[in-house]
Amino acid sequence: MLIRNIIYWGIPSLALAINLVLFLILVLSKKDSHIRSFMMFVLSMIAWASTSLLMKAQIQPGVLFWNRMMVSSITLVPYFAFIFISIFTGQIKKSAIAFWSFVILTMNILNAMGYLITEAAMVPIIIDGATTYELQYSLAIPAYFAFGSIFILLSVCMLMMRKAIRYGNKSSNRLKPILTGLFILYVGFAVNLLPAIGKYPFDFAFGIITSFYMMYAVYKTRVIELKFVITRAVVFTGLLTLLVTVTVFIVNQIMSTFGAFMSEMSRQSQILISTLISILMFLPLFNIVQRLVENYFYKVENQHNNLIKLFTMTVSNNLNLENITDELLKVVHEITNNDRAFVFLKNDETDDYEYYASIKKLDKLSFNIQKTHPFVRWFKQFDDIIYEQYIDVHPFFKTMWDNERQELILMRFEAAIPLKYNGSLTGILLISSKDSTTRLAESELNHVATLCATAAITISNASMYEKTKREAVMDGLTNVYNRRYFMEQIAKYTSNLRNQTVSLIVLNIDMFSVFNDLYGHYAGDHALIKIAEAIKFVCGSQGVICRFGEDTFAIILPFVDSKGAYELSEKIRLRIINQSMSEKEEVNRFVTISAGICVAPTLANDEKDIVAKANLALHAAKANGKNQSLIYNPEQHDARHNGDEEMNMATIYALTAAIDAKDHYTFGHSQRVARYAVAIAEEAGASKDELELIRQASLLHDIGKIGIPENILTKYTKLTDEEYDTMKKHVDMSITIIKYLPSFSHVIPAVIGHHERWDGTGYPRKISGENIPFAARCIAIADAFDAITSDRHYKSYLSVDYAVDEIERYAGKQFDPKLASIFVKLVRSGKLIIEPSRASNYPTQVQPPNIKA
Amino acid sequence: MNMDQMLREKRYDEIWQKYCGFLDSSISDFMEIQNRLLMEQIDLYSKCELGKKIMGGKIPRSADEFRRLVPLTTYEDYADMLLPKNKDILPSEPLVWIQTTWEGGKSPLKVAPYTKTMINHHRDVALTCFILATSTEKGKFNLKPKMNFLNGMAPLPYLTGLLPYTIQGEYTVNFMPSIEEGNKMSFGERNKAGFKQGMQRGIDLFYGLSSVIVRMSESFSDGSKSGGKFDILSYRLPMLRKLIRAKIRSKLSKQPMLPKDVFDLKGFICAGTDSTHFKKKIEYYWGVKPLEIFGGTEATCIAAESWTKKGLILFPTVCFYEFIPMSEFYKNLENPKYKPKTYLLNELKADEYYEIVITSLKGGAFARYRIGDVFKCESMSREEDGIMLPHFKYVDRIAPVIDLAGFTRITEATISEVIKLSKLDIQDWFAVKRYDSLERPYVDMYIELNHKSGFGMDNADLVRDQLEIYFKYIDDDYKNLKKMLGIDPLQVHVIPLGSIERYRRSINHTLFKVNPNFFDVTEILKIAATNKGGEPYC
Repeated sequence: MLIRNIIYWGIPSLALAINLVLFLILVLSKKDSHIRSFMMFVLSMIAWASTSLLMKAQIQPGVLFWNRMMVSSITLVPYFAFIFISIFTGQIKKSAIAFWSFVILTMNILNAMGYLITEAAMVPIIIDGATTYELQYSLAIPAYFAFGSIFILLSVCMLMMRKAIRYGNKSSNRLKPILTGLFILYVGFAVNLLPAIGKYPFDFAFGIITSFYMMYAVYKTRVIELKFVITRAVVFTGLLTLLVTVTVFIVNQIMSTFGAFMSEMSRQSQILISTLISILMFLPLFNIVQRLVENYFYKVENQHNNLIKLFTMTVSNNLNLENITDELLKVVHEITNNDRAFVFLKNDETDDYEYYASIKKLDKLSFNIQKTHPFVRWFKQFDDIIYEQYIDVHPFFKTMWDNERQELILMRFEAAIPLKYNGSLTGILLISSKDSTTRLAESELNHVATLCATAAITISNASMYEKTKREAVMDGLTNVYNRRYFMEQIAKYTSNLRNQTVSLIVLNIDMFSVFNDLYGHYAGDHALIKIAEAIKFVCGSQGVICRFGEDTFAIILPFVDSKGAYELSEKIRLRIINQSMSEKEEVNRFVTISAGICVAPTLANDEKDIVAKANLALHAAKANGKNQSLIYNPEQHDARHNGDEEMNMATIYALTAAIDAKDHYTFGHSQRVARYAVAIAEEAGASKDELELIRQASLLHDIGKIGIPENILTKYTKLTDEEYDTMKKHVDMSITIIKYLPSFSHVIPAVIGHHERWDGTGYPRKISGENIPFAARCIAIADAFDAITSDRHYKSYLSVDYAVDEIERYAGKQFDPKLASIFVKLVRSGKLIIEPSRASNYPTQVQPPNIKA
Repeated sequence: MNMDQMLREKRYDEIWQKYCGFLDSSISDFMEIQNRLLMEQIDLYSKCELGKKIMGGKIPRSADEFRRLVPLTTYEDYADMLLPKNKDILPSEPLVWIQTTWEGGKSPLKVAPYTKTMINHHRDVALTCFILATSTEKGKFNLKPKMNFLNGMAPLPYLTGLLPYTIQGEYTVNFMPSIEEGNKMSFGERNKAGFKQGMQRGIDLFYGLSSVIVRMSESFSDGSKSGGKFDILSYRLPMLRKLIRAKIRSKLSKQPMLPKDVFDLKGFICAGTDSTHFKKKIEYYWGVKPLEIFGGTEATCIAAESWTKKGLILFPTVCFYEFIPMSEFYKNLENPKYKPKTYLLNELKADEYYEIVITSLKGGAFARYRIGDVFKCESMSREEDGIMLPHFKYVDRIAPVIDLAGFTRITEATISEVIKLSKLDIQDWFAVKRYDSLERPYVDMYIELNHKSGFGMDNADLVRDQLEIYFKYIDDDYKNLKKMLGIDPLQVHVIPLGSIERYRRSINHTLFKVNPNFFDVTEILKIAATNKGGEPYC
């Protein structure tokens, strides 16, 4: 009896309750054509269940009326299933819809007119001594056609589904549940026709299953909206409906069990008792349900909050960026149950946002988010999450490049969340969708956004810490490691030489001081940056690159032998040769490098040894003509270095002697110039090193005259313009010669500038004022003075007084006024003694010389 | 989700934001879009052979550097590389090559490659135009799927022919005639067939060349007076009802029946030179304010009016725009070596005239390209409509080109060729574009005939007839002007020999043969009148 009642009352009640809940969810969701057509289907199911219950309860106007209503509802179920499937699969055929609308309408008209169900009544039957009711009805002939049509319509629906699956216009994963649901409904209707089973409401039971299947399909398509809708209130309402249904059923059951006893009571007493039972049953159940619902939602929300709290605690004292991002991604995974999230962090050098980490270690993204990317612009203006649907719709994202859009499509971008602290965007979290149908709930993304806001603070701190740590070991100019780091690393790598080979390359820029003097320190810095970039480019991720000295770089290469190191060094050298060091492209400025290589343990025993020997190799490369790489050779290099300087000095004297021999009129000129120039510099406060440089430069300043034809050098008359131009070339020739004296390359700026004039009208570079190297300015005065006071082929010597007056007269025009004044004072005060042979009486009739030394 | 679905689901706000949201941009937002997309284009352009040639192997790092390093270009600069349609030299692979006539060029045609992204943008622009055409208020529009669309424009390979293909799969309209039928017809036949179908089914959207629309409208009204064949069975019921009602009203009021009496148009899109002159007529005939749009083969559709239909607004994602003020333009015209300065959208001044220069975005082929059109910047914003972007009026082709109703373009080279072929002994000449009393454009040509010319050759009508023969011979579109629009495109005036040269000697600037400035024309005609002793022309 109980089972029978459950079947008769319970199943339709359950169907009603479930469909009501579904309908409520759909009402609250954002509607589109799918949802609307599905709502009509659910409504027809509700109508079917409610008319069935009303009929069984024998409510007015009577069983026949409700039975006909129920039959009408039954006809609407397959009809709306058909409409839903047409829209869902995109197979909308107006003619078919019109035809079936006509068929269903005709059936309902016939039903209303009584041509389908002629009689229906709830007949009392006694089972196990208890009276119960069973539906008995008579069908007219058109009813068979009507039911036949329903089966045909259901078959049409299933064929449409099969076609949709076959042609794949929607993912079959979403179509299969609908097909299964339809089949179950079909079976439900079919078993209804069997008299033995048909009297039980199996069609309802199957209808419930169908509703679930269809709901699932809709849910998979429209997941975001529905997920938002299934809120606490909706779930609570649904459970409440179920609770009411169950209570009504149980009270009804109790009342019928005690039917005989109850029948003796008055109607009021019966109502009172049933109400009391209802309250007694309902209230505790209601409390339980309420607590369960609250607990569930609280649990989910609380769980998320706890995760965020835990994350905050975990990372608050952590300054390791990798740990923080790993922790962040772990929590993102736990909140969203999505394992495709990616962290991009700001690169302070480029301001672009570079891929840093992802939940799955191998799930890397190969793109960066440029600083001009609309995401970055968006987050700089707003704190809001960027959803995938914004990209197409919002004008803000019109600046997106095609490849950027493509990258987002490929990663199945779902949302971007800022890692923003104190108005500064430190990073961006990108989340991909798990598959083409699943979307994250807004509440989940909001939790992730809260998490990111917390994470941004720690990431910002950690980034700053990493930056400071990095800066402590980095060279600020060239952005390679500094000397301190080099010393640490070379010690580290040479500490275990039994097990590994370490190569060291020491690279030095050839004549870098000359480059600096010629083009200035700013250009020198720029050249250093470019050289460092070239080294980084060639080395890639290989080795540890350091700035070892002002113009020296060192590369530690673990596990690389001398051959590998040499090849790498040569690659770097060739790259630098072919690369202009100019900041702007209008002038090409080239430099060369020399490199010394040493390998441990083969050639060196410890860190000091390897550095010293690589330096020896470097010196050897320099002495050998520069612009080359050399591997340390114990036999050659140790011997070569000694006595280099002495040899060079001897060379200088030999060369000056050669000039003197070539043009005896200038005999001793270089030595005198050296003496005068050093005197000026000394008085001007130059350092010892500078004085030495000036001395050497003075000795070498006219060395290029070796290359000037003798007929010009020794010409008695005034030089023609052409000859004068040839004579001017002696400066360039001096440089060409000095280049081959490696230890004296530092004198080149002084030599090249000794014919420049303070007012910028000199040669070869026409530079002016203090742009002319100090040494060159000293030499210029000394050179001119000696030229006036010496005999030349084209003139006799002039007096010292005259010469001093001339120097004074041309101060500020040809000569540095300060240095000229110093020189004049030196001579006039007698501090600088001029050689007597040149300081005798001088013919005043001689024309003042054109001061061309 | 495509436009059809969005319309079915009534996502009107979303549609407006997607397609017309740029109208809410500030000028700085607009420039941000321009600059960023230009950098994308430079990136693509610098990697291809064409880009390397045009940019001289340089890779600009900013919009300013781009404008400094890359010279202004004309089709001559691209002809050798584009005309062979070699896709390997382009920044992106083209899906389709669009072509147009190249009046006065070294080849009869110009071609321009269109990439997939460009076509997608063109689709978005087309849908924006549809929305704005049916809109009279911000955010509100009257667009539905499957509207009846009368497309009175040329088919592929012309740019206008791209429209049906770009919107396919995004927005469904009933083309009248259908795309397949239309492709088999000539321009005139397509318009006739479309209008005939429109009469039967109704027209919701109309896109056409302004001059042609006006001519069709006039024919419609004239036809209604004379009464034509009336095949009752070919009409759909609602159209039949409207037609009968309109006919009765026309009879009763003794006024000609106008298209607006029959058609309930939702939107009207018009294009073509001289649109400004025709728009009022279109509104009179059709009862709808037409939406003027502007585009060209090389540039694609770059501007449309807003819902107010008061001035063109540029689309930010189609091209990068620069503007040459007229003072700079003339300096360059006088001295072709002079590099005219260009200005960006945010640097323009209201009420100034500018020649527009475009750089294609999204892998297009043209950089700093002078399309040869002049715009007037009407205002830098329209605060009353909440649009903070400059509004333009399309003025005309640049002075050395006479564009007649969007049908044909006449240049100095064209006229010189015609004179040469005609064997008329024309010593000197100049030509000016003018409008007749019905606002229809024509060429006013002033010629000086040599004394040795044959008998009767001082008769302007004879000279005109002679010249027209060769205009028609070298320019097919010239024929259609009279045939389709009823325009007499050429007026000839004979002026005394030496008048032009006399004036030319008295001035310090160059006297242009086509569209010389107003002052020059007046002065020449004064000299001519003095020589002849009669009334001055003009």
